[in-house]
Amino acid sequence: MVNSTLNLVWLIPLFPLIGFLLNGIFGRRLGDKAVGIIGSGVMFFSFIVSGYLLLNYLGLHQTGAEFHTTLFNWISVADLQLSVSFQVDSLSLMMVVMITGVAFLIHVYSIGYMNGDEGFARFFAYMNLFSFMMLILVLSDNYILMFLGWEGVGLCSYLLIGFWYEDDENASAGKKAFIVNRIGDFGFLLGALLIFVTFGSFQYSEIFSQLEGYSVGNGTVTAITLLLFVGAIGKSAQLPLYVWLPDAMAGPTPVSALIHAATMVTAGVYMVARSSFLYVLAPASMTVIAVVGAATALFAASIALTQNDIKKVLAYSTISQLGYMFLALGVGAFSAGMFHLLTHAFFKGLMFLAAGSVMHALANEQDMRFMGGLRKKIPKTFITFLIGALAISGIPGLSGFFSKDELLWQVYSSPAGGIWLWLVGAVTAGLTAFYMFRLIFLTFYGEARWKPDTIAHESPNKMTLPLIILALLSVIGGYVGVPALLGGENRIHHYLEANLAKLPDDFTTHQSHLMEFTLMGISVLIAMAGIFLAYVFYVKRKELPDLLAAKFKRAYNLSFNKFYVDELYDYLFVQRLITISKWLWNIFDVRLVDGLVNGAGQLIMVSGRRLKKVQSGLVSGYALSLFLGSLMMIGYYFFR
Amino acid sequence: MIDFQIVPADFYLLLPEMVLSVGAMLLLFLELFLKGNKTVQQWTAFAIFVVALSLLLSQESSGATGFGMMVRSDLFGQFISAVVLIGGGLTVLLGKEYLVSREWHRGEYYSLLLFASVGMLFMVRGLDLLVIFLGLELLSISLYILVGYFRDRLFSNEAALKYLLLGAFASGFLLYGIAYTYGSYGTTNLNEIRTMGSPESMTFHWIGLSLILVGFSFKVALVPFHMWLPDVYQGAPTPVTGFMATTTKAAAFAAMLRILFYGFPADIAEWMPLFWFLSAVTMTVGNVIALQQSNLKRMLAYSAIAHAGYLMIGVTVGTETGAAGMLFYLLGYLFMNIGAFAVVQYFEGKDETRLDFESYAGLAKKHPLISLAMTLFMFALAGFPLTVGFTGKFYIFTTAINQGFVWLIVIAVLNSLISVYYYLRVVIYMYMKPLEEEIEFSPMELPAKVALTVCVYAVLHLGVLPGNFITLAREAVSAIF
Repeated sequence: MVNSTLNLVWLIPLFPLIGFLLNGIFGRRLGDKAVGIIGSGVMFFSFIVSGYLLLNYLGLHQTGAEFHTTLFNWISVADLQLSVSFQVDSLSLMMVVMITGVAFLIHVYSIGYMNGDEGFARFFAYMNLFSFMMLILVLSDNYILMFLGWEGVGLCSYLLIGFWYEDDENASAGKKAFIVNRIGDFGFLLGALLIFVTFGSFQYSEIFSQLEGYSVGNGTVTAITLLLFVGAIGKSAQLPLYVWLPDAMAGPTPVSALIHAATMVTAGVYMVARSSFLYVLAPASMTVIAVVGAATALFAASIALTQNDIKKVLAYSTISQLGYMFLALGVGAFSAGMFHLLTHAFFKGLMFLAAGSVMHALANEQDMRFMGGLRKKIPKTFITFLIGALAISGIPGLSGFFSKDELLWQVYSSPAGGIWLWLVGAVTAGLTAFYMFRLIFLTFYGEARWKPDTIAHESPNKMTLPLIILALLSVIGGYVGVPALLGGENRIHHYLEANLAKLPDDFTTHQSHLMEFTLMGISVLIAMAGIFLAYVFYVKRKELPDLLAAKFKRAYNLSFNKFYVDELYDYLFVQRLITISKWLWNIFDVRLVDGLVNGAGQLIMVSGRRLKKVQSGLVSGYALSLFLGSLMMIGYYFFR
Repeated sequence: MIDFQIVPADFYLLLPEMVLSVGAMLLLFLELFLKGNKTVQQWTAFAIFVVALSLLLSQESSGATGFGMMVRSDLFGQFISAVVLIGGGLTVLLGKEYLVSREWHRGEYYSLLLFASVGMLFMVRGLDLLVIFLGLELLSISLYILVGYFRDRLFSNEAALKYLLLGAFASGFLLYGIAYTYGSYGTTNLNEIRTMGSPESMTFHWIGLSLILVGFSFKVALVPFHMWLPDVYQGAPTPVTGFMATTTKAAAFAAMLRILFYGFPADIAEWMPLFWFLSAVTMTVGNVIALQQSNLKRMLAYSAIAHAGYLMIGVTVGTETGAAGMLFYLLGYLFMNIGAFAVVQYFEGKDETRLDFESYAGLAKKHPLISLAMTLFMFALAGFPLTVGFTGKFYIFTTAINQGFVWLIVIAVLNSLISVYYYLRVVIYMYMKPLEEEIEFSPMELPAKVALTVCVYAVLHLGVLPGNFITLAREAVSAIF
């Protein structure tokens, strides 16, 4: 379908691209003030256009309508058609409005946060480029353009993690993020190629329209969906590829908020939801997703319990919450997963920015052991952080409550879910409430444990205003999805459902309201209990944590050392790869000249000495390999 | 037998080669009279490349043959010849600065480039195994000299000597193969072989073809025929390395395609398993060893081996689309690799001390534009979207997977995953490490700047809007099927 207003969709990614070009090329000459205004201004325009399109789309009253806009043909040959084209529907519109809105706020915040930084213009250029790529990712109407965005956001993420490159640790964190993500991309690309082989197209609507001929459990579709999920695991930091996300916290805090909480890491969730029509045909893949999601949610939450770095706690929390979203997708509750994605963007973005504000107040201190007593000093940050923590804990009335409750209920009631998956979700909710309030109490309550000569001060308005707006959204954002049980209409579900697939067996009607109410009550109680426990541990009886840690030393050490996964990976993969590479090197490359470190003088000397060998040994070795290769070629004929 | 008659149209067909040859000799003469200012030579050589290219492109691509079916003018030949000539032109633009700074700026450099190009044009447009062989020899001899161009440098000497010894060995195999083929068909003309269809002696045919393939496997450096390549690439003057890595690879692959697909169409299916194996082994060995390198020229050398493996996928698939993918990739590879070597030669310094990763630390701050260009080339080699590295690989991979080569593509994708690591290291060093030492580079001269800009533009253009060129490549390969 074509719609003249919605055709304006190309404007949405255009603005950040302009911002990137202006800031990237003229950044240094423009001055910091202009750079900040351009950087956030373009996001604002983008947001306005996105909002306008969303209102237009809603005004059409055509649920499930898809609009395609083709910009140009990318590759067009007989058997391969690929165009740069966008798809506007409920799913992509929700994503662009969220991305541009949150990105705008974070850009404004960054003007304050990055104030005076040497790479101010570079930072905004990267951030704009990131926004552009992210918008391409969600607006694309085919898997290859999505892959472009997918790679692009990964690249920007990597550039921004290593932003302060004077720091060696940051550079290696960026590298780790990149390499782990390549494993995911490997899956994604193979999945996309397999889709092309199977359906002869990369375009979503062309693929999905051919699915009628495929039965549930089809082997090819299962393979495709599993491969795509490998991509999602990498990008959305799920088990076993989550290791890069905690390290990625080395980047500036606004980056963590935008890329590693609100947008990029949710790309995997979006991609699975976008491919939902494929996934419902592959119950095995769905089960894998649900189990990986549940396991990640619990695993990451249990690590978050003991971390002392404020950003690391939030990072593991993000991994855990992403696990929640995958859990929902895995049981076929696609809209519930997307709903949680939306509210999570608000409250997690908020908490990262608030954590940045705390660090700003304490001269970039990240260790919670050197915080405490900040409640009165930085009240705006405290209140907004508290709202975020309450929201993520699932306290009734806040956005996190609605999305989490909807999600858990679907997990319980879906034929693909059940009581065990629900239980994992509920336990995780309890852990979440506990570690979030551990963070709140350690940071804002108790005595001040700041390092000497620190003067805590509230951040400027440029930083607190985005906090307040995000806090507001964290409160009210959930009212788009009030469940029927509480007298709502679950609007977001009805808005999204036409563009998402359904499990063959519609399940929500089978369950009683009483059960739904009971489960809701239980999960709220668990959350309350978690908060209360944190209160006891970190405000009332502060000796308890150490006592328990001593008593359950092993469990504590496991959690504190993140289950030693980094060490394990290093041993299993990194060291192995180095060994293999060296082995091959020795076999295939008996080298005359050691290109390693030799300086020039040494080189000439050494090569002079070695030149003698040329006639004697090594060249004949090369020739021998040539000869054996020829024998292989001729031999192939006789032994074929 | 072919009725051998020479008509004026034959000469018209060979105009590009004639212009190049006459130009090369002219430059040698000029060398006698021009002592001081050698810029003239650079511009003359460049003009010769441009004239040859425009003559080539203005020819009809009807498949007309000349000199008794010795050469054939078709779109396939034109496509790869254009790659060769563009590569030659870019190398001319890049070479002067490098040679002047080492006080080795001579006219021979340009005439050798021209002679090498003539050789490659004969390889690509020849329709007779002997013409192809002669072209290959002309190319090889020019390259032996170019590799050892710095004759007072041991490094350069050593590389040339090795290349000569092994190259002669490989040429021997090739010639021997041609002899066997003659023994089995009674002719060396590919057109006649094609029409005959079946050989008189199957064994001779097979041995002949095997040995011919050995010769070309050596030139494109498939594992296990690759051993010479890292040493030679490292020892050769950097502009020459860039020239070899791109144009020679294109010409050798093109000759291989023409011999296999045009001359022996019935054999392709038979060879498939072996090609599959060569392709997989070549890309894996190339990539894995490249991981270990800390010298940029050596890293790019192993990357060239890996790329030969990727290109081999097109031969393995054995269809028109597979070959078209190779042609398109060879075109893209020309720009990304010459571009990468152009940056390497700029940074390496007079005595080639700055070739390791460490010496790229922090260069982005002082040389933002050149670093950006290098980043682009590295991303292109790694196969990032929006660069020709992506569109090219993507096209080859989809074609192969469409023909059912799933495991080969799994290996290939895994390989490109590995390769990102070492390409990216360059970028990491440039952008994320502090500057080691302050070194002043003399500003890049205009011709080199132009060449670099062309490479950047082409990498992006072919990455964003590859459509026309892919179509062109597809039309081109229909000439050899």
